[in-house]
Amino acid sequence: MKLRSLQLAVPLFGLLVALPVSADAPLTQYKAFTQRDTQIEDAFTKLKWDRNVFGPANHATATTVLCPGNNRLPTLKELLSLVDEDVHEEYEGTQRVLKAIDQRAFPNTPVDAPYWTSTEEGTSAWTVDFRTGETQLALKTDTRRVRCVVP
Amino acid sequence: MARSSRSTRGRLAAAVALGLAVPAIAACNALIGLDDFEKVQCAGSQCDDAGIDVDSGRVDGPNDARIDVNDFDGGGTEPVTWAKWPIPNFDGVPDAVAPAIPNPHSYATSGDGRSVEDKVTKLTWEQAGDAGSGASTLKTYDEAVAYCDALGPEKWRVPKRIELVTLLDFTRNGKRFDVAFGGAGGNYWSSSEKRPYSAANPAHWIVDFDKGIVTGRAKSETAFVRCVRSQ
Repeated sequence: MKLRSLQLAVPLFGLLVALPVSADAPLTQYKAFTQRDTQIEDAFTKLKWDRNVFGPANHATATTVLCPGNNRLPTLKELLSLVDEDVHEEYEGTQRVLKAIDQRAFPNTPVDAPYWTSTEEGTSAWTVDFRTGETQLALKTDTRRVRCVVP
Repeated sequence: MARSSRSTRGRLAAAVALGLAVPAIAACNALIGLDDFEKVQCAGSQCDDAGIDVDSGRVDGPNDARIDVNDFDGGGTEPVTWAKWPIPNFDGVPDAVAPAIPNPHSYATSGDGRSVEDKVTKLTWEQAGDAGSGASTLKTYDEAVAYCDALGPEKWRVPKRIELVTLLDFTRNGKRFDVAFGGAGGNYWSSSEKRPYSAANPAHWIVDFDKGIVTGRAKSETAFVRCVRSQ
């Protein structure tokens, strides 16, 4: 019995030591995830986010094609909960780019365009720019990035 | 059948060897597995092979993205706040075929006209402003802080950005608060610093309740404030 628990304990310890750590959100904000997970669950808002980013696409495509079925676009307020007020810098090529999102949960988030939400205003819809964390209205026919909420 | 002691020793040696080898392999795998760490965001697009510069510790990600996590300092001293509750939603007429949006708005007034409790976030908000008939007066950021400090015996404070965001009600135009609240539309202060933070021109996040815009404003300018207290 003692032998078996030793066999289990030593490799587990080795794995613990080997994991990289660099977080902007508090470590309790997102439920435990591995580098290969395709979803991130926020332990407090209870929202599950797709780690994949789509687009740029127009609002209709974002709603029906890119976030299909039980997936959906986040509401503006939900997407604002992903904003990291403590912005960090990443290199994209030789450019230093500011990003306002947790880097460990959402590495290499493209910020070349703001992200669609489901909150609409007539012919426009609200977006969030993850270079700054600010909100903007955009015409639904314009193309923006997409991150879905998954069930 | 009794096992020979030689066989037991052999098994012990094998187990120890395995116990030492696995973390070593796991450690190497975690290093090599950093390739996959970058590739998570590459779905559907080209990813260059990731490489690791062992001397500098830099990780080359897809499309030559390199992450220097320690070089940049956004400045500021206020702790940043993350949502610690579900986000209250009521974003207008929901599309009947779309998945239901969770956590609809739910508020309870205190009855004495002083406070409103958000049943989703459990935060308690100032119900109406200080200028009568539900309006409030414009204040610089420091004046807003002093106002909330003096508001009452409870520990009122200027809300954080994400706390203030939870109040936006997109079913209404021109004054995007739930009907439980009094107060004018317009810009409202948060205690969250807008970063990169400049001590020479300090700015905080504000929320524009006329439209729903979330942006920054210099501390010396004026805006309204709606104080909050946690339970």
